[in-house]
Amino acid sequence: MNSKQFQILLTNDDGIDSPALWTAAEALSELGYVTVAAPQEQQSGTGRSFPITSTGTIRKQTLTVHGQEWPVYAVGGSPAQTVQHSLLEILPQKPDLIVSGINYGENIGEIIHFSGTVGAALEAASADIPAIAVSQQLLDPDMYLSNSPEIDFSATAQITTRFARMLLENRFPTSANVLNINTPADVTSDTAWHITRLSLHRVYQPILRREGGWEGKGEIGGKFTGIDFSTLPKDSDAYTLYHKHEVSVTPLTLDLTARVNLQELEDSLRK
Amino acid sequence: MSSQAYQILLTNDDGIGSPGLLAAAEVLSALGEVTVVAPRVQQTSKGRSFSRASDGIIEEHPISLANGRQIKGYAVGATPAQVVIHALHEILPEKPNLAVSGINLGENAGNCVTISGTMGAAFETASSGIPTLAASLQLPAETANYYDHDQDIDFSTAGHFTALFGRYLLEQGLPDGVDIFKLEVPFSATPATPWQVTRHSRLRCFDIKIDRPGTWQTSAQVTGVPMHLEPGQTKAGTDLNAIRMEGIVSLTPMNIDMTARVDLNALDQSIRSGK
Repeated sequence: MNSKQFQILLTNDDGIDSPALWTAAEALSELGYVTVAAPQEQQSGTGRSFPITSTGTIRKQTLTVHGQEWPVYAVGGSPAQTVQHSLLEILPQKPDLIVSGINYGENIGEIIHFSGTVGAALEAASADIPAIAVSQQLLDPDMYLSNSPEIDFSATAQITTRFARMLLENRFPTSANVLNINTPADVTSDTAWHITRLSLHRVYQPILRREGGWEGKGEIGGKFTGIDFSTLPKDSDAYTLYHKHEVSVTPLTLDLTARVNLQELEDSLRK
Repeated sequence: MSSQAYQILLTNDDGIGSPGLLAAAEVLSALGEVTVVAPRVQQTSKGRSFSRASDGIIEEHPISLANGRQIKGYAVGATPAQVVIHALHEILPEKPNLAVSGINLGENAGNCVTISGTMGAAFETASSGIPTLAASLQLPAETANYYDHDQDIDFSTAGHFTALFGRYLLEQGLPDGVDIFKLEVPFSATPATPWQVTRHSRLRCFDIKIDRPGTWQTSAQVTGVPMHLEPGQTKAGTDLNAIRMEGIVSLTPMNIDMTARVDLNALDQSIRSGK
């Protein structure tokens, strides 16, 4: 290995057994040395959480992908915890880039708050490491937790590699802390991309299922509502993905200060 | 109380037994009709996560106030964000006028807000268009215990400021372009301590520590300890600077929109031209 080789940490929220993780690992390996550390279990919907109940165990495994052997690490933790175990225990040095994904299913709009894929990227950004969260739209919600080998993630992996190269070669403005990339279900490596903003329409509605009374188990799921996507702002992630069927690239920030005049707000509060 | 009383949803991440929750219930009850819906057990650092392991069971848990009154309370087997969904879909008869999350045991300044369960509940109510106040009381770093419900902690000052900004939201509503008021009260504050509208700091406020007594194959605990900050490390006018450097109360207007504050078109062009 060349000493100047870029160090890339690859993680996800679907867990170490996700075929999409392997597809990303292969594609990114043309840019540098890829260390794969991912949650041992499925961690979809866990956001940037740090559950105190996580075991924190680390299991080193070897996986063979297309004849190449990869040392990989399965971590008993959430995606954000997996990033911290990687930084503090697994990696010999701070990586140049962290990629989280490729996720089974899109992470757009406010979904990013509870997405484990984005949670890992936010954790990386908090440690001042450039980060990409990448997700591929799935048309069948039953596939979100499937880790199905039937889905082709290769085009998304190529697009990820393209943006990863930009970040590694410092050809990307630093004002963004995380790039959140979403590709449409029918993505090819030629699909056009656009810089977008998060859609603030609640596209994913919580659904509550409860059999019997409050004393029984109540489950919260969700579904995409029948929004007329053509009515969404044209520069939003939802419009780009659902209406144009193109690749959405949203720069995210860790700074959630409202876009208002703070002095005016303070004056109005003191009245 | 008149039928016109403001409806207030009070929740938290520390769980139904937290003294911070009770302190908020006390002061908010003077402003309107408070319904407490909180996690059954401690949910610190769960962010806005949705856990499939949650049972979603709802138990009635009335809250007794100091004046002898009882208000409606419910304990839910769920994460803070899930608790909000249960509250809005199953418990409250109508959308509340105000949602308050807290008062949290420990600060939520800097970029750890996306880890915070207090903020996770706040993001959830704000996403439903409810004016939201997230309130946290800093704990002294040396003795901080973020998980146990230390009944000796004095929440009266944090309660004072919770009522101050809660009343503002009820009477004036959220200012245009703001989704959440995030309140941080330093542990040394009194009701006379000044407050300031602040920016949200991008800095971490907690250092992550891994306590691993054995090998990788055995369990390890990941915890956060308040980060040591040198003077000059925090930017003036930020939440972190206000509570950690100046010891003043911080009120940050927040957005749920995490899009970077950049000119998106210029960014698009700059990438396409390879600059």
